[in-house]
Amino acid sequence: MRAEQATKGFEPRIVAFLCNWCSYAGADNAGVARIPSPHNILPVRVMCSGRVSPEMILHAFRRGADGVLVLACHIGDCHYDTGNHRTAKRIPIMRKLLEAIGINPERLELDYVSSAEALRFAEVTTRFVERIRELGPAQAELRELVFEPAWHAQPGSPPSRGGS
Amino acid sequence: MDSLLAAIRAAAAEELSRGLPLLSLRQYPWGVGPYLFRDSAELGELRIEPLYPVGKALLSLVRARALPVAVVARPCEVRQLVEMAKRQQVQPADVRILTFSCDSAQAQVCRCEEPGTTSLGWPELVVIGEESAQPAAAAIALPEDPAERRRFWAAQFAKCIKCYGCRNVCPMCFCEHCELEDPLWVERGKLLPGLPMFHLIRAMHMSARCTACRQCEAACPAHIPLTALYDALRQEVGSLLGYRPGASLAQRPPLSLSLREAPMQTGRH
Ligand code: SF4
Ligand code: SF4
Repeated sequence: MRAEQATKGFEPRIVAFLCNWCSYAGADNAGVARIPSPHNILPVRVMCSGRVSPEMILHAFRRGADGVLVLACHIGDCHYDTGNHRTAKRIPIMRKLLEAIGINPERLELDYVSSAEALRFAEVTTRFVERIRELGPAQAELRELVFEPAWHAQPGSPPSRGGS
Repeated sequence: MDSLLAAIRAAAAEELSRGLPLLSLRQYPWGVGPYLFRDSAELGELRIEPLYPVGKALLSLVRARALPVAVVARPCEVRQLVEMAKRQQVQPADVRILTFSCDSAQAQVCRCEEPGTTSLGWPELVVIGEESAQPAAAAIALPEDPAERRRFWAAQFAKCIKCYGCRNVCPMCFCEHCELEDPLWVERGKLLPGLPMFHLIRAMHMSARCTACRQCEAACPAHIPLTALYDALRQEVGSLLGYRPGASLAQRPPLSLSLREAPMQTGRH
């Protein structure tokens, strides 16, 4: 029901952490090759997917992301040899954290895109945007997680984004 | 209990006679607190209750270079020392441990899965007394429905007064620079922040470290069941990486290792 309501005119905002050496170049190549990819993606370039800390992911959600996508080099191709190995372990644990507090873990995804895979970049991002479109806005979930005492909420005012 | 205490005092006297100072609890006229015993005449005042953050007390000895020492520690605390040693906070050679099994009543209070002294991987370890405790179930069942879970945690986290007591008491929290003090992630001077960043960051950082000693819950003035969240992540780390914090000195912390050194059991890539 909620998903139905939410999908009406809902454009997901996705924060995508892109590795400088693979997925960022992949995104670039997608642009150069004029492969259409969703405009919902806000790319954040990082030097390695291993740099994407839990704090950064939580911060993205706090500041209004409906989904967070981490795109790493394929295992074995990391510019720093094993940076993405840490990501591969961290993200499933982070998804568990989201699940434990009642946020849909599907809002966080890890995938692998090399610099040559422009087409794959478009596919992965499109698929993720569609998934988040199905799930609806994250703020609907996050808002419930934030305890708002009655004296905080002003009548008629939009619900707070959470955080300042 | 009395015979256990007597046995611990006897073992402690032995350590002192070998010239090792001993860290445990002491009865002061005004209450019980941690104390570094040096004189066996004082051992009549040695206590083993209540629980206190042994690891934190030991860290202050490490920083004061007051080593080597002997320390009276419960099984969960031994597991903590194991984790601390792996992270270079303490050298196993510097610490001799006198340990004893908790009893079933204590295990119930702590929701402790492993109150016994078997399988504690510390080189210099003396086990005192019998193993008697029945393990208890760790989990506080979280609500099934995600929306219920959100409301559950919202109500719990709303009680937080951000005293940082849970972090300060935790023996696994020893970083010089703490992300929880970075104003970018956790706002200063603000209660009821939006997303409970403090708690979620701490939960992530505890995922492959927490040994479920429940000291944070005991310290929390707001009675927030923090470890219900940490337990969920600890279990995930267990099934994903086959890692149980404190189980063995040889097994290195998996999250800072590559997949070659510490592979995942259920790969998703
Ligand atoms: S139970 Fe709490 S205090 Fe004990 S190790 Fe885990 S997080 Fe730290
Ligand atoms: S001890 Fe309790 S009240 Fe204090 S910061 Fe931790 S959770 Fe919040």
